[in-house]
Amino acid sequence: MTAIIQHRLPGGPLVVGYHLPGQTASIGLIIDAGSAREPAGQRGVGHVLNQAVFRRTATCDPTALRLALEDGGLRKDSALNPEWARYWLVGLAEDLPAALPLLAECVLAPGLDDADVAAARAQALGRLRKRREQRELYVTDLLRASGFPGHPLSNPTLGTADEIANLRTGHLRRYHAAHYRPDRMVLAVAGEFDWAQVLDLAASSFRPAPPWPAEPLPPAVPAAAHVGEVWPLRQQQIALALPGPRYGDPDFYAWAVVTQLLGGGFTSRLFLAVRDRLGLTYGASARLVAHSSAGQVLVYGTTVPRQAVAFVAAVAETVRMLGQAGVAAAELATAKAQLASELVMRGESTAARMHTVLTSALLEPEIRGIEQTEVAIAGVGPDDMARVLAHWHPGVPIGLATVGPVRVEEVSRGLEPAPVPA
Amino acid sequence: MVSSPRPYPPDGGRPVGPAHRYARLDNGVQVVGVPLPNPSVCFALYLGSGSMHEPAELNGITHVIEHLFFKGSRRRSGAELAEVGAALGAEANAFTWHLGVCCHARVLRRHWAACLDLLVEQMTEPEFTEPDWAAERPVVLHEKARMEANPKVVAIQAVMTARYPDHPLGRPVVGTDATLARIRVADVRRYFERILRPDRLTLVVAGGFDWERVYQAARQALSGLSARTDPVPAPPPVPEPVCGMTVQHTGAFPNVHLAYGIPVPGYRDPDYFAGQLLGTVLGDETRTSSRLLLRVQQRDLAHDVFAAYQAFHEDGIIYTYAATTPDRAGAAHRAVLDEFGRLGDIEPDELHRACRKLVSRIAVDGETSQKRALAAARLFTGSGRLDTLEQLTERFRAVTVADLHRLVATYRPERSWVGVAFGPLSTL
Repeated sequence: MTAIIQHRLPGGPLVVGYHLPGQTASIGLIIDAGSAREPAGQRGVGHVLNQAVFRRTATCDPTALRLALEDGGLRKDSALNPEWARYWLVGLAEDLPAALPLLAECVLAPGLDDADVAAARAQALGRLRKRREQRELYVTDLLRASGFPGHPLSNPTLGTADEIANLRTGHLRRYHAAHYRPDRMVLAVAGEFDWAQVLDLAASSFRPAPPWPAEPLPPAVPAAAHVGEVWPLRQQQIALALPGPRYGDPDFYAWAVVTQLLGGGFTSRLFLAVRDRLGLTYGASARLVAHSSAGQVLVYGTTVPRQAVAFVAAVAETVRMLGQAGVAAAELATAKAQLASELVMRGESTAARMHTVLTSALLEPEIRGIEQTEVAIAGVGPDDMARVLAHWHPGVPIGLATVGPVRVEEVSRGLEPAPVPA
Repeated sequence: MVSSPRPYPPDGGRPVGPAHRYARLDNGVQVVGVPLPNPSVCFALYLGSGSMHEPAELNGITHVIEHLFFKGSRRRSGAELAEVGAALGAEANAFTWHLGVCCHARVLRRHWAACLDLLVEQMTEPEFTEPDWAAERPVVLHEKARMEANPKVVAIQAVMTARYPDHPLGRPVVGTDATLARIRVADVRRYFERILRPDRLTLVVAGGFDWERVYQAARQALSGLSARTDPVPAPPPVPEPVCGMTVQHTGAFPNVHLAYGIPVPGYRDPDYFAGQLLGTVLGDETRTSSRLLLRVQQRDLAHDVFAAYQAFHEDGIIYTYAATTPDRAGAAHRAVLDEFGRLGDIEPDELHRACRKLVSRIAVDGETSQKRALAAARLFTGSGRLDTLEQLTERFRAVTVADLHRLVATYRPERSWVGVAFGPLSTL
């Protein structure tokens, strides 16, 4: 029995509801327009637009918009990805009737005059400066940018400072008109809500638009590049990319279990080997990074510069061991129990439920909520694991990005094949 | 003998919300229940001794103990404890801060009993061994280095040191390289024996649980700890703030980071709720809107700015943090100080909006059993109060503009702020 309901508004967004009784609700929009859609020479236009949304709208000046959000006790937020942009509001369920039209107006009709664009551009440039100090994000951005050579997925999510500085009002208006179209959006509400009221509000907030489907992105083929930047840091930032699934991959949930097993908790292979046994790091974790046509399993960790090679070697060895020796039944059962448990517990948050269905509705063949994912995880068996782990065969190319005092050429020595014993 | 569960206060003590459950074991352990309609149960076992209770030469030892809780008990190795937790699907972690150390774990309802046993074993029967500390010391140092790579963390620690010089609240929770090099397992054992007092232990359970069964299980698990009657040493008095700015030139970060602290009341002060509202008007951690956001970030003087209220027992601080570039740092600094000076003119509509934001935030943050348990652990052990969402809402709504004006007039943020700037600059 699923708690998910959906309805496609004619010429408008797909509306999805995901019930969770309580006092709160989250409402969000996802748009099929990420950095991979940005025109050449305008990398960062989606990021600047992102900064303009929630600043003012055609009918709401900045003060009025701020007061509307504050009076509703609403928390706003947004996120960008190579394939999507999303915007959401979280608050008390009683404020949902005001939140939905407000969110729609902010996204469909943001103020895009010269002054708005100048302010949004300044904010975007500030976020780029901040990104240089958000080192996990910085090094994983670097990894993705090198992981899909020549493909739009390699566009930097936040753009580049040079191209952002050259963006003008016309660029933003054209990008908004081309991509922020109701028929390419998914609207999701999670928590406590009245579905009939949600549909009424959505119908009055999204005027029908003629369908203008996006061109599909060309298929992406991941590459295992090695890239690095030398910075005078006390910690070496390291990210590694392994083969992984795209959204819709029939083995997606087997991959999720493998990722959990590799780097998902206190009993994960990476935690036990790299932190507990070798003391090389405070934490080494793994997560799935899936796109519509390709995906990766990403490992991230930090260590002191003199142990960077050892860290990378330990990760590579852990992956090799997993690929070669496979997984015992008890370990598989534990990883599945952990994953299923995390999933159900994460679903206590209305925002987490909203994000789950937004991503699923945009990128998966059918919308999966927590209940469907739980069933899929329960169905993962030893044969599925073996099939997935075959991708991590000895000699599998591993992508590497690193930022810190040690050059990438040196750090990548950790990826050299282990010597064969005489 | 152990007392049976009963409504709190049993004898004129501190008030606890009617929807909550409370019991005190005869040895002094307190058990608090926060019922929720959730599919999970979260336990938080909180020991009220944190970095501010440490002697200077052992600064960081509580955080070391937190790490060693996961390395094994007298009955099981660390790996065995982790395997049991993983098989339960437990989401387990721990934190140390100035006032305490806490291990917590969240599981699906059906696993609650095993989860509670595991947590109690981990935290009350640790086996501190030389090899475990030898293996864990580099991990603690890695964690410290990772924190020192985060300018926001560095900024907040710098402002704590500036606000509380030569006081335990000003010392880093993780310790220093010198103290971490000095700490031996024998120190850990001695120190833990000193701080593990049942009268400083609180077990919080939040989520879908049967109170009677949880209480009985907690009683069985925790009654074996011997009650203590020796007094708990009181921390030294908090120093008066010395207003001023320190500029530290460093090439470690490309941006300039400004951090400030203004003194405000702590958990036990009746103005605790007014302090929360003052911090929200000034800086709103969620960055939706605030005086600082409008004045500093939206005028492009900084690319990030917020303020947050942090309460301790008797004392509190509102942190302000801004990240900017060297050429804008001076203007951002002046704008922040100007906003401190304007805190005395808060209007009723601003207070109303801050109240709406806080009430909504508390409700949203309280969706999960884990966040609810941790918030309850901090609030209850800090203040002795445990309010339901409805009671918290009422407490915020009861704060008036006159309360805020009185608070500002008492604490004089424009004259009591302390600040630190660091990054590629030598002066502001």
